[in-house]
Amino acid sequence: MIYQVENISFAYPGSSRTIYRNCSFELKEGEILSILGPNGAGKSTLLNSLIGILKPQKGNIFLAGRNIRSLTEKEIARQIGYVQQSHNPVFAYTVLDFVLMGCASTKNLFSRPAKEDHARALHILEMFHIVHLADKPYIYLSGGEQQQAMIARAVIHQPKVLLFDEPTSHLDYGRQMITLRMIKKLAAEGYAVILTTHNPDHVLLLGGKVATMEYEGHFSIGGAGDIITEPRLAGIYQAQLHLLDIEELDRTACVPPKL
Amino acid sequence: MKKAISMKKAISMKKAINMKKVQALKSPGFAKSGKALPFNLILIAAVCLGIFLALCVGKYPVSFSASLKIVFYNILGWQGDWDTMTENVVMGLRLPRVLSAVVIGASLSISGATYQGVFRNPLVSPDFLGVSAGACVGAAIAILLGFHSLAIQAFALAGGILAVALTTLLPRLLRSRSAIVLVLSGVIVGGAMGSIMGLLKYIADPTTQLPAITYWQMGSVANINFRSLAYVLAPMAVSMTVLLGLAWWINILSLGEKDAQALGANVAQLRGVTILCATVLTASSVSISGTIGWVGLVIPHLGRMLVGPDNRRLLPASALLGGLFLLFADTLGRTIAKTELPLSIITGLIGAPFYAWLLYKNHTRLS
Repeated sequence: MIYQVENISFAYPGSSRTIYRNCSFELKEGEILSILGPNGAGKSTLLNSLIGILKPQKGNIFLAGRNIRSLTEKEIARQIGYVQQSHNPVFAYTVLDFVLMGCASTKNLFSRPAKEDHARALHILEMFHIVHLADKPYIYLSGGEQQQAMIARAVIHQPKVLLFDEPTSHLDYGRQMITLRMIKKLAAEGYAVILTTHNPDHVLLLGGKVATMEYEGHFSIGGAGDIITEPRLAGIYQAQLHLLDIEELDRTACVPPKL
Repeated sequence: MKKAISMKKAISMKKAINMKKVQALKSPGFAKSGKALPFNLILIAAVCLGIFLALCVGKYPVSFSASLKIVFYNILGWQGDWDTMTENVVMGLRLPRVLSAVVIGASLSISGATYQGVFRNPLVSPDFLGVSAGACVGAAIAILLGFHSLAIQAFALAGGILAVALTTLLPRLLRSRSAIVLVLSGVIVGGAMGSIMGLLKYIADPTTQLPAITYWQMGSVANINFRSLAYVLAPMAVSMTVLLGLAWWINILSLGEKDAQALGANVAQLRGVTILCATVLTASSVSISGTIGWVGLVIPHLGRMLVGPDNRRLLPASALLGGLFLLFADTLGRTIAKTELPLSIITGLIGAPFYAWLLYKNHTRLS
C-alpha cells in the first residue's frame, strides 16, 4: 500500500470553513485516484496535505507504511513526484537543469547532480521526445512542453507515486488527451497516480478510483460507476450534466445539455 | 508515445542509459559547464592583471614590473633594490585597498546573487534586509562616541547583523514563513534605521562628526589596512564557501517555497543558512568600506547574461565580475580627479546606466 489516508480533516487557521472532512482512502501501486470537484472545492489543498506541505488537524496519512508526520521533506519527496498545475520560475533555467532539480530528494546538502543524473535526465527527455528542448529555457516553452518537462522532472528520481494538480487545465484539447493517455500509461507501469480535475469526462476516461469534493468539505470515494452519477454531478457543479453510453466508443461520456 | 510505456523500467535500468549517445546529444548543460570553467579562468586572470595594474596607477606612478617584483619579493621575504617610498606606496597604501576592493566586490555580488535567488526577485540588492542601514547606524553611533577605525568597523558589523536579526524577528512573531513578510519586514527595519540615521546626523557635530558619518556612508576602501581586512576575511571566506557549496540548492529555492519543499528541500533551514551567509558577507563588507551601492544588484544580472541563471556557474562568475568591477571603480575614483571620489558615486555613475542598458537588452524577456 502506497497511501493510507485515515479520517483526515483540514481547515485553514483562522477560517471556520472545513476544506475536507473525514477523508479516507487507500491507494496501491498502479492505481489511479481522480479527485473531482468544482473550482475552489479544496482539491489542491488535499494534494498539498498528501505531500506534507499542509498538515491536517485530524487523522493520519501513511506514505509507504510510515506516518507522514514523522517523515522529513526529503523522505516524502523521495516517494512522490509532484506535477504542479502551472509553474513560472523567475529565472530562465534550461529544461535540462529544470529536470535535474527533480533529483533533489536523492541528494545531500552541498551535493549536486552527478554525471549519471545528467545522463538519466537526457534519457528521460529523449523518451518524452523533448530532448531537442534540453538547451531551451523552460520559461519559454509552450504549456504542453512545460508539462512534459514537469512530468520528466517528477519521474527522474523514480518515485512510487505521481501527483498531478489539474494536469489538463492549461492545455488545448489534443494535449489534454496526450496527457490523459500518458497518465494511464504511467499507472500501467506501476506508479500510483493521484490527480485533481474539474472535468468529469476526464475521470470517466481514466477509470480507477474517483473521489468527489464539495464546498461543504464533503468527501466521497468509490469506483467511477458508483461516484459519477447525474444527481451527484448536478449537486457538485450546480449544472445539469448527462451521462451517455456511447456504444461505438465503448465508454460512458459526460456531456452538458444544449445551451 | 509508445516508447514512453517502458519508461519506468528504462529509468531504473542503467543499461538503458547509453552514455556515448547521451554525450553525443551535446546537451547545453555540459557545454555550458564546460565553457564556464575557461570563462572563470579568464576572469581570474583579468582580476590578477587588474590588481597589478591598479597597483601601478595613482599620484605616484609605479611601473608594472616594479609593482610585480615588490609584491612577490615581499611575499617570499626577499630583499629588493627599490626605494622605501615605492614599497610603502605599493605594499602599505595600494595593496590593502586594491585587495579590499576585490574582496568586497566579490562578497557583495555573491550576496546579491544569493538574495535574488532565494527571494525569487532579480531586483533585490544585498542590503534589502536592512544590513547597510543597520551598519550605517552602528558606524554613526561609533563616530558620535568618538571611536576610530576598528571600533567603527565592529559597531557597523554589529549594527548590520542586529538590523537583519530584527528583520527576521518580525516574521517569527507573526509565525509566518512567507518570503513577502520577510521582505516587508526588511522595508520596515530599513525605514526605521533611516530615521535613526537622520536623528544621529542631526545631533552630530557639523564640523567633525557629520562629515565623517557622511563620508562613511558614501563608501571607500581608502582607509582599509591589512589588519581591518584580516578581521572580516575569515567570516567572508566561510560564508562564500558555504554559498558556493549550496549553489544548486539556491536554484531549487528560487523555484518557490512550495515547489522546493515538494522536491525535498528543507526550505526554512536552507533559507536560514543562505540568508545568514549572504548577510555576513554584506555586513562584513559594509563594516570595513561603508555603504557601496549597485554592485550587488547589477553584477548578478551581468553574470546571468554571461553564464546563465544556474547559481553553480553564476555565483563564482558574479564573485569574479564583482571583484573586477569594484577594483575598476576604486582605481577610477582615485585617479579621475584631483581629490578622491567616494566609491558609491563611481559605482552609481557606472551602475545606473549599465543597469538601464541591461534592462534595454532584456526588455522583451522582462515584459
